[in-house]
Amino acid sequence: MKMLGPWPVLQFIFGLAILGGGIFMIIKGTQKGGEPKITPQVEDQRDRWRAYEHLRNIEENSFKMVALMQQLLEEQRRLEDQLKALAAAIWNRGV
Amino acid sequence: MAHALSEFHLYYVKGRVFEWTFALSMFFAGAECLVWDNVISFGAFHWMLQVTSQKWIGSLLFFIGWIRISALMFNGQLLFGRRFGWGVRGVCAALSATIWAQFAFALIQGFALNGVPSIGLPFWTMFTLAELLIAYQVGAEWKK
Repeated sequence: MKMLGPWPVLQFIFGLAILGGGIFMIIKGTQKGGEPKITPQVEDQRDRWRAYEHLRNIEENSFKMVALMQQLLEEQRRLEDQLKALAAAIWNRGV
Repeated sequence: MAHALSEFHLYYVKGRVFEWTFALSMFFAGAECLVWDNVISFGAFHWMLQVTSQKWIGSLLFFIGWIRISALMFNGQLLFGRRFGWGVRGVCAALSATIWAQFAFALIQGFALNGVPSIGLPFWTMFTLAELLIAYQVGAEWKK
């Protein structure tokens, strides 16, 4: 048997021990990593805040849009009444 | 270009710098052993040559380094519907720890015989411990 340096058995045992330690660490890691932990990162929180700001903006704008459309409808009705009045005036003048 | 590099770093490198370092070191060390002669015969490492030849050591380093680089490049891709990357990386980390430990032990033997520790002893020892930590971290990734 060739000499593995001055302490061949110790070297072999040392190698096996490190290999066993590596396998042990893998197994320990799998036990620890049972449930994937989702920790919110700063960028994720920032993105979430930005998304909520957009939603708030959209909500405010949607109420404004409804109010503006009601106003528009009112103006259209007024315009319709005025057009009817104009048409009636033109008709009556002709008669 | 900068954005592509940033995406590449985020996907492949982030959180795995040590693994890439050891994988590439092992790969190129193996290539060095295969190309040049008498690479390992310096200092205390010559005791490793009493076990096997430099070509075998170089082939082992080259092969494990290649497998590890491949596993890092896979990065979560599925094979037959399952992720094997974490397992390959874990086993490679354990094997690498064993190899680095052999280098460290060769230097420990030199220290014991000469009474003067080699400057490389802390490095090889820390490499061994770092690989064990990587094996633990990789195991913790298995459900991701």
